[in-house]
Amino acid sequence: MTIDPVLDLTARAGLATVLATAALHKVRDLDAFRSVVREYALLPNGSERLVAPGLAVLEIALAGALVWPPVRVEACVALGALLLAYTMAIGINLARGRRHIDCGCFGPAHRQALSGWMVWRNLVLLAAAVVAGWPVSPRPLEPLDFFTFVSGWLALALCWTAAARLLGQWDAVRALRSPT
Amino acid sequence: MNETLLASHLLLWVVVLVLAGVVVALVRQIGILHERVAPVGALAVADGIEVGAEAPVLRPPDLTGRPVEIGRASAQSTLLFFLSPTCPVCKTLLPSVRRVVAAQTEVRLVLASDGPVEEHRAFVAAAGLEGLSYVVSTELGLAYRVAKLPYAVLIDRAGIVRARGLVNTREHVESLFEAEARGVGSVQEFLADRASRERVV
Repeated sequence: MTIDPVLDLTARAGLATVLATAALHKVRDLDAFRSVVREYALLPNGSERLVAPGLAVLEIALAGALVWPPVRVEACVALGALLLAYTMAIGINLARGRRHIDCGCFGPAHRQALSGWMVWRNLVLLAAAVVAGWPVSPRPLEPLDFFTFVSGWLALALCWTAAARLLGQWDAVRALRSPT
Repeated sequence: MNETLLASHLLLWVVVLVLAGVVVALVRQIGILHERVAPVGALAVADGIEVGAEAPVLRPPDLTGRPVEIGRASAQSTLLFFLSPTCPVCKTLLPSVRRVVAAQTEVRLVLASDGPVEEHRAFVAAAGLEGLSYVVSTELGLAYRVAKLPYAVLIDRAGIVRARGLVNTREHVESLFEAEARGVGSVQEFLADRASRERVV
């Protein structure tokens, strides 16, 4: 079974956008991201000095590789591994009860405590990575395809932003519901 | 047929994009509202006259020297609004207080402050407060233990304190009347009461 090239293009461009914005947040305030990595408390102390910039560089490289057709499958596999690692890091800290730490998802300006929905969000991204790495049916692209691709990409990016913000406000809504 | 589908396809994408943009804008607005609504309601400071207790009957003088009776049972409820000519929040809140009181039936507004009378005369002239009861009395502030301004106390017709607290916005002032109508004294009492009801359910 193969998928239509427009779906493949949209999935890859969408994932690349998510990665690039995530990396941008990290690079903008690398010190803050170092302390986020330390707060996850999964790696030996001091390693965050290298791991934090390493993750940012890895995300940028993956974003580039996703939109470069010759290495798209490899990029999708690597992205899948990165997403699984992130999801496990979040899952382990949720299980430890360390919900108060910043997830590091949206940069230091929008601190966001860890929460169960982040695991589901990462699984959605993982599904998109599977679509992006799937074999593509050979079909010549028409001009209309590019319109569909650009519109679909923009619409997905907007919906993604809105969904992430809405879920981020969940804590505030819960606090309003239960005042104690 | 193909052209019809093409036109519809293009139009639908435009609509989807516009709607997605609207959703993002709405979510942003909700976020801003969340940041701003958090502390609504007059905040009761720890001490002072308890809600439900009888208000002390005092006769502080107004700016012309005439005594104004506060705390005795009368035909009108009284909203005591404690302010100071040097407090900027009080100044910006005054028009709202007057509007809120005007919207209520049978409520008398009494402005209260302390300090040199000349300062208050100048303030009344500058803020256009002629015609309002304006009492200057340290005793009154002490009786209600007013520590922070602007502070408001609502006394009902029977002379009972119905609500009191620090007021910073029009919503806070309105919440005093809301509190009287619902029979709760402050935002803390309201939240505690609701929490206990939820536990029962």
